[in-house]
Amino acid sequence: MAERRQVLRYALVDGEPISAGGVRVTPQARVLEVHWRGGGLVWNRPVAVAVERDGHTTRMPIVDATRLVQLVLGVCAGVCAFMGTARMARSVRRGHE
Amino acid sequence: MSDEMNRVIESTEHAHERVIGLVERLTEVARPGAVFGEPMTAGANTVVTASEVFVAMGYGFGIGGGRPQQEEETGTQSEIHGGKVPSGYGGGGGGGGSSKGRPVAVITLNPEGVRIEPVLDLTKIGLAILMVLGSLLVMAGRLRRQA
Repeated sequence: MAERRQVLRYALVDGEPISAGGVRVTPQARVLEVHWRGGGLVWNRPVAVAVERDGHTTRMPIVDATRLVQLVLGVCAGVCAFMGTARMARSVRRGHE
Repeated sequence: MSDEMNRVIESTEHAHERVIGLVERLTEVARPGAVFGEPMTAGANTVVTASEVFVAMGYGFGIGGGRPQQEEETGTQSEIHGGKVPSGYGGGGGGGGSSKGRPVAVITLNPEGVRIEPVLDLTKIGLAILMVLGSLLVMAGRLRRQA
């Protein structure tokens, strides 16, 4: 019988540790995997690195600067559109009065 | 079942197996190795690149056929094909997909510590700025017309 495939998977996966200069780094990625009959999609993005040094482990997040700038621009555009629409509605209401 | 139909089913199954193999390979993209590059060492520095990967694909296919029908069954008068309505089998399929990758950050390891430097995709940011500015200009124009 064929192996039953998981339809949806959203997980944090650890990569192979890298050691250099007395530091051991374990990269972490966030995976979204969706499978359906006749296809599928995979979205894999880096989220952090776990840094082990002198017995201490710290987690350093990886910031997606491009996505962050796009989000900020999108929010700004949304706020401007909302304010503009509200102003337009106010002027139309005043015109009716 | 006719040989013709068997041939159609066989070729469709063959194509189906090949596409299933492709879909199975999607799992390879879900590994962390697809996101983090191989470490490269230059002097005391070890550099690892981190990228975002997106892959999507889909396919579909279908087969069908018809058996010959006599004039009496269809109730139509046909002079061609010896009074039979033509029959046959056929199949078809199609698929599509998209994949993209984008560098997100560069991780540098050295005796001083670990440094993560974000990578800015200026083309994407430029396009987003242009889109926002364009939307605002359209909105401002409409507001001015209303006033």
